[in-house]
Amino acid sequence: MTFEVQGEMALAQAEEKTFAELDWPATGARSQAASLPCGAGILATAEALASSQRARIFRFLFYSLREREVAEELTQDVLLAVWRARESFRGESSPETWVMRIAMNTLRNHTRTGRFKFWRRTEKVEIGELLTPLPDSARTAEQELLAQESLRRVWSAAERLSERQRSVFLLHFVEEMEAREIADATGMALGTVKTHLYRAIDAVRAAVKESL
Amino acid sequence: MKSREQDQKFDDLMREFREACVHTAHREQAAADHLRQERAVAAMRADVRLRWAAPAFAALVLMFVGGGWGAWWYVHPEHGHPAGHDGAHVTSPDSIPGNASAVSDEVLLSEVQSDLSDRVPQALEPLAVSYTSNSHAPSGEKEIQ
Repeated sequence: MTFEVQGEMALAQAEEKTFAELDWPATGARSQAASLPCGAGILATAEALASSQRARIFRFLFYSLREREVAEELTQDVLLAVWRARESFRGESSPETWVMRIAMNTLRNHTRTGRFKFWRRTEKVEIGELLTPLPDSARTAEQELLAQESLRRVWSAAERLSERQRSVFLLHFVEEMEAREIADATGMALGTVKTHLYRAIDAVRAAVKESL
Repeated sequence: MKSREQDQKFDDLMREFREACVHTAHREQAAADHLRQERAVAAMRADVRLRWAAPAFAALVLMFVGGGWGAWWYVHPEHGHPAGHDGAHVTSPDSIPGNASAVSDEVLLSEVQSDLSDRVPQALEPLAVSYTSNSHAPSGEKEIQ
């Protein structure tokens, strides 16, 4: 069963789809939709889960760890953990938030145990160097450079944030999650999330103040 | 008014930041996938090579070691020529009869019979003495002839 699931996940497309765009099968041998809470369609099949959540999980882990290969490995671990635990999803939050919570826990476990696994450490990626604005024909070359510089400033400011603040910042601005969803995913109180988010925005705004 | 303008610019910047993050992550994920596939292929090739090469190499090593040990054993004076064994007579052409099939059955039979006649009486003699002495002694006394 495990091999089957891993194979399915490996074959699943990396293309990200929104929850509404998914066309998951309601019937079939692997369909679990009947036993899952309403709205948990992404947990119905391994294909639906991987195609909708893989890119999202990888993105969050990649920007949190800044290690490409580790993020890829952990993404597989998270998808497998979600698939195995799908029966325990009670529908108290959205399935996307629930998946993100498992990703958060996996990240914490990795960070906790990774301190001792010095032989598995890989070189961290310079995200600031990688971030490039999407090509825009309306922009001049100079504007393109300025836009790139602004993005680097934003990331540089985000890197200086505390781990929690950065997680909240990324979940809000990159994953477009609301404060309530972030609180569910991280296990923090709503007020704490709002405080972290406010401080993170303040720090980033101060860093990019000149370019505004 | 200026503050609202700055808020708008900040929102635009954060939207652009999100788009750049999504785009970059997608690119990095594709690169990670590609790297993983390359590693998997390399691992499979190495596995295939190992599956064939390892036993072949082991057999080759065993052959050389066995051959070397055999040569040493043969050449060494203590093992190559053990006591009472003269290896030379085995391969000497003089020890091989010229025409073994030419010896007739009668000759062979007579040789065997003469050989047996030489050996059997000597071997049975003590037993025969003991038998005659016991069976013909009327009073239990041994009659030694």
